[in-house]
Amino acid sequence: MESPDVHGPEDWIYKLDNVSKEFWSGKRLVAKGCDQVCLRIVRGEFLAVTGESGSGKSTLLSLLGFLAAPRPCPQEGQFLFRVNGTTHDLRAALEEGIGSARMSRWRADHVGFVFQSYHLMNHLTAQANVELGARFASPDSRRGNTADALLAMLGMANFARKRTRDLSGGQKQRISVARALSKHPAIILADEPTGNLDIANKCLVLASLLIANAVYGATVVLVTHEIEHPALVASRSILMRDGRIVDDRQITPHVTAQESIDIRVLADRIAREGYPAVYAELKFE
Amino acid sequence: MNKALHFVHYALYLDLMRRSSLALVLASAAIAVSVAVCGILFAAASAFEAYCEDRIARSGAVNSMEVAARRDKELGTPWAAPPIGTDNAQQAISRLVAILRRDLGPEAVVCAEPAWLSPGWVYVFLAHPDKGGVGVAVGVALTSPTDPEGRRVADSRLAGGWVTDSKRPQIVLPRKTANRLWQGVLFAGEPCWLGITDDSVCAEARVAGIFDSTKGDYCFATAPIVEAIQAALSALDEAIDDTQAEGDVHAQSEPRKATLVSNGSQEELPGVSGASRFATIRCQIYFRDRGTVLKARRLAEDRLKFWVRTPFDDFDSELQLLAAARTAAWAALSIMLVTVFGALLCTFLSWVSRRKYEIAILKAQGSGNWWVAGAYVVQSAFVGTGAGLAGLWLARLLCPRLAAWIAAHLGQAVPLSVSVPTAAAASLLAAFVGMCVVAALIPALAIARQDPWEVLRR
Repeated sequence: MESPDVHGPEDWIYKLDNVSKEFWSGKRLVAKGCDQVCLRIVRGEFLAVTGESGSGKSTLLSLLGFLAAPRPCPQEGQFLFRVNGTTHDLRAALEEGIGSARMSRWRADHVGFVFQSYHLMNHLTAQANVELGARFASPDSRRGNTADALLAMLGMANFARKRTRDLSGGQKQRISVARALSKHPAIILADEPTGNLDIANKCLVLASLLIANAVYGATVVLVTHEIEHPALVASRSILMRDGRIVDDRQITPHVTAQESIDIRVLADRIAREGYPAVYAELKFE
Repeated sequence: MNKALHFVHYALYLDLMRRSSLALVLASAAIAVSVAVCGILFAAASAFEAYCEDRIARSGAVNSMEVAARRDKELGTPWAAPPIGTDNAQQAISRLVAILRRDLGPEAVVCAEPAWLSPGWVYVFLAHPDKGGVGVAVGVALTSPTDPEGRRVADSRLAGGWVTDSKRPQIVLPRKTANRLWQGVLFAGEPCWLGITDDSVCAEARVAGIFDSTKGDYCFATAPIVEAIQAALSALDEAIDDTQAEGDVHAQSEPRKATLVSNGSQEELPGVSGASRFATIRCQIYFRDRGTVLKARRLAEDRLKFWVRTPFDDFDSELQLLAAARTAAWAALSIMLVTVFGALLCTFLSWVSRRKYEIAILKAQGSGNWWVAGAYVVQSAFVGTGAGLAGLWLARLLCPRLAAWIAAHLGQAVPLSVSVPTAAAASLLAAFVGMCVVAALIPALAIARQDPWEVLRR
């Protein structure tokens, strides 16, 4: 199931061929979340997944994050995940009956999540929430920054001892990003992370994702239904419809990662110039 | 170890940091009250038992009981079969005693008076020097080589040299028997083999119990005795019937000589006389378990139509009350355990269900199903232990009041010490902690297996 890389010179992290996710209610097929998706995600890229509601964006994210298993199991296709020079085959793991355990392990070691509703432990402090991200990772995967350093980097140092229920939405989301970064993940999966935020916080969170991508080298998959986001941050954008990928293109973002490493610069600029002015500079190539 | 402690600490930290855990508070209260009630019941039963022991001890009936069993002549029901002769068994006893004295040494093993005997089963009470003369019982089961069991014994266990010849009566005691009967090898239920009479029986000697020991072997004693009475009656009735049918009364009416052959030496033993009637069975039973004695008496009375009187008859009311108290304690405990377990299951189900969201977050961060289940098991064990200890403390507080109530109820000054027995307290605590663990494990595992994505998307 785990083998040295023999899949070609490209530095991909995910390789999906004909991967589907069907939802069944008993013997009745309810919906197809993903329909024979073929996707290759290159290490270090910032991939934006866009599409209408119900197009399968989040389902794809759950598959990439090993929160859900493909169904049916791809018999003719494949679901490969490569990290640290080792290729993992999800299909083989599922066929061996150890899919659930392997998915938990991979999730714990290599995947960070950022959700629209934050999904923090509200009765714990910000620091405890950030530490939770690396809690289940194996020791090799815990070489990320400490919670304090991450919180400081995201401008949340003063809130480390506060319970997250007392924080604002934007602060919670930055803690969520810090939690995702705490294990030094190979990939960060963000499911509409700016859905509940105002413009300033949106930019702050997007900037922090950019930092995760540019500084920490994490591959980022951003699911969003806001059409401007890909142009703002992503290096590649795919459009989904009815569970299929109907468009896949490279993007040169106008606010580059290098320019937005300091999220305070971005925040100041947004506060000073306003989001429309910043957005006006952003165009598809 | 560190890892486990770290896990326990984190599992507790994860949920107990929460301010509002009403379900856990209710569960804790239920456990504490239940443990307290059970503890008080046990304390009451224990105190009352001690009281009864004290009364019995004062009466001089401690640790021994004479059972005088006599056939109920007033029933007017005649024996269905001729009365049973005991001469053969008496001879068997004599021979067995002679053999044991010879092989084990007269100074080492002194045969007490054979307290009870029957042709089917014989119990001999020997004095064990290491026990300061306390009785050690040897049970001898008599079987006929003509019946299937006797044949099986002869074929498989006695290896030919054992079965007696009617024309050359002999009793054989293998050398190993001495070793097996001597100190350290008197295990309950372990058989040794003896040839007893000349033409009709071989014997299995089985140590039925070492009385007054702390091994609990006494419980094997009384029921087999009653069974033996029944077996003896049936077996000898059949034997007498068979003998009469063959017209061979000679064997029973004329004394004959038997030869003891053991370890290469021979000696003559007294002859066997004819059968005679017996109407009384008298046995001495060393006991610790009155329940078994009472059960034995009930069996004897039901099956054999004997009236059996024990010294405990003087304490009937106390013993009945004691039995009622025990029954009540066990019934209350059983009902309480079932009820509390049901309540705990519901409570923990509700508790864990409310944590569905947190569990989904934990799973999204990579925790496995068993980690989640383990975390909730640790928390429930913590709750169970804390609440259980609180319950025991509560019971301890209430015990003096209970002692006062019992003393008042008995209407006399009784040296009564009411406290929850340590063993009962430990058992209660373990039972309730175990219930908490099971009650939490089931819903935790079920919810840990849910699809976290479904929960997090809501």
